[in-house]
Amino acid sequence: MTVPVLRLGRTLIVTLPSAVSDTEMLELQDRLAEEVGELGIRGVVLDVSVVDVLDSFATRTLRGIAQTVRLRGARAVIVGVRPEVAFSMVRLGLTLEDVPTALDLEEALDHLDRATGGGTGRGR
Amino acid sequence: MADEHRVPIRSEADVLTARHRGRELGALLGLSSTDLILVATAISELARNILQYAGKGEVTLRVVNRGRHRGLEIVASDDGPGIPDVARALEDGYSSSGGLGLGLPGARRLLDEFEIHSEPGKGTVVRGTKWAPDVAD
Amino acid sequence: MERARPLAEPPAPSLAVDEQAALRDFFEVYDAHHEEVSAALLEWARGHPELRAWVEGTPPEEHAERQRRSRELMRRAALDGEWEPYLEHLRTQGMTYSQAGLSFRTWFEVVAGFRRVIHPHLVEAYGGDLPRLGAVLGAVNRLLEVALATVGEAYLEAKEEQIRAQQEAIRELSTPVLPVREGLIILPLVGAIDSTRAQQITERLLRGIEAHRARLVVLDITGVPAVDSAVANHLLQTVRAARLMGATVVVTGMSAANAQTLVRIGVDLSGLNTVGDLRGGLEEADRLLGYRTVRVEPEARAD
Repeated sequence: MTVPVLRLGRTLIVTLPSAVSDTEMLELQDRLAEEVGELGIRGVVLDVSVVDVLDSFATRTLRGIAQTVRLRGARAVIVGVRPEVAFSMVRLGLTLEDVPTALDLEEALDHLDRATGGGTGRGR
Repeated sequence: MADEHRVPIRSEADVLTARHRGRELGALLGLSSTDLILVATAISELARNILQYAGKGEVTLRVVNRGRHRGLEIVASDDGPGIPDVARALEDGYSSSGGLGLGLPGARRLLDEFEIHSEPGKGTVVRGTKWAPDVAD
Repeated sequence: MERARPLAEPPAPSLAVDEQAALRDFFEVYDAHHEEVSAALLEWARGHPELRAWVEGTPPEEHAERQRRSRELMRRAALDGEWEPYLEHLRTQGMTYSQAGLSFRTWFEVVAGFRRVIHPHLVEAYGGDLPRLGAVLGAVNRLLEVALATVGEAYLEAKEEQIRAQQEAIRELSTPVLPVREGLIILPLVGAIDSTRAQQITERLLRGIEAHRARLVVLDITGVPAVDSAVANHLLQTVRAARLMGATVVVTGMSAANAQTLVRIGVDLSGLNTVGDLRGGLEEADRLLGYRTVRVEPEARAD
């Protein structure tokens, strides 16, 4: 089962399913690394709004994906961390550190627009 | 509702199963939505530890009583190499760095009670409990 | 409302064989005089300030039926060993007394009053046979102990639930989430913060961010008396959690004294975005959100 990735101009919107396997996460990382380069993607939105548990592994992998995307020349934003998940993460001692976060998709796209100087190609 | 739910941990799919079972039992006990996530996350950390350091093991979930209180007990056990210095493993420096990240101090912060028994060569048993709110509506 | 059950139930009382005989003796007398016993109890209750209204507000048939049922349940428990229905009945009684607001002493007197009223009848029936009388009185005492313990425990549980509900209501009131303008919410904190309250504050703040789509939270701690390292750490955790949701938290109302204490303790405040007072905090919030407040000059009045 592949993780759904939607393309919106020069932005990719990745919707992570509620229970995603380690293998799928790593495959996603590879796939994004490729597509960002090939398609000239400027921004990647990682939507975790249906993810109910972000443990240390998942968090590390998300940060890894964000880093990979940045190394390939795009910006990443994590969107939709649920209140309970945010609470659980800080209790665990996890942060997303250098990865920007946004409350919802609209804010994420606004953020990417500002960060890339309108380069996401959303045409607003 | 059975007394005990054992989930063998041999693959990452089992981690998801254990989490799910924990959520189910927790919900039956009346844990809040936040507490359910704390429980599922703690189970995830402990089960992953088993996979990473022992290869395989078991997570047992039980409903426990103490007087008027009911709680969910999580026991993560394995016959792996064991932890040489348990006190150090519970120190914060090991948790979120992403390096050695045993996840133990983190899991401890998610639960109400927490204890760990481990010796090199004798495996590891981690036991934690999340208590349900006092009175059911 | 479903009543709360103690989950570790005490085992049903078991009575020895000779106690059984004594209980049969007791019930013989009780059955023979139950109307007088009921009347005496009601009379006593009518004279009691806390109970009079209830006694007089309930029709006699209902009183009679209540007594009949009570007696029957007691008999089935004591003589047939069917304790559960009787214990359940007692627990409901306890809960009812508590919810009706009866004082501790009053419910105790209600339950213990039974012994006082039945006593003369037992003496009259068995006074000529002292060992037998002794056994009967002993059996009645045992029954009463069970009743007092069961009613009492249920009474206390119900009271504790009331207190818990009130505390919850107070906490809700003391942690309001105030939407100010689009994207901005204020959380003024008042009162001491322990770890339980800290968790609730964090949860409310995070849910508030979600519900009001806030990008900015002004967390005002002017009303928090003692900001020690524990509270500071809770604040830091709250700020980090909010950041995970894409919101920025500005903490206002941190007094100079508090700030100095925290620095001295060694708490790393770099994660906290603090501004002196609430007004300053709101201005900072507006700045961060990209708002600019412009004063509009009132139009000159043409006289």
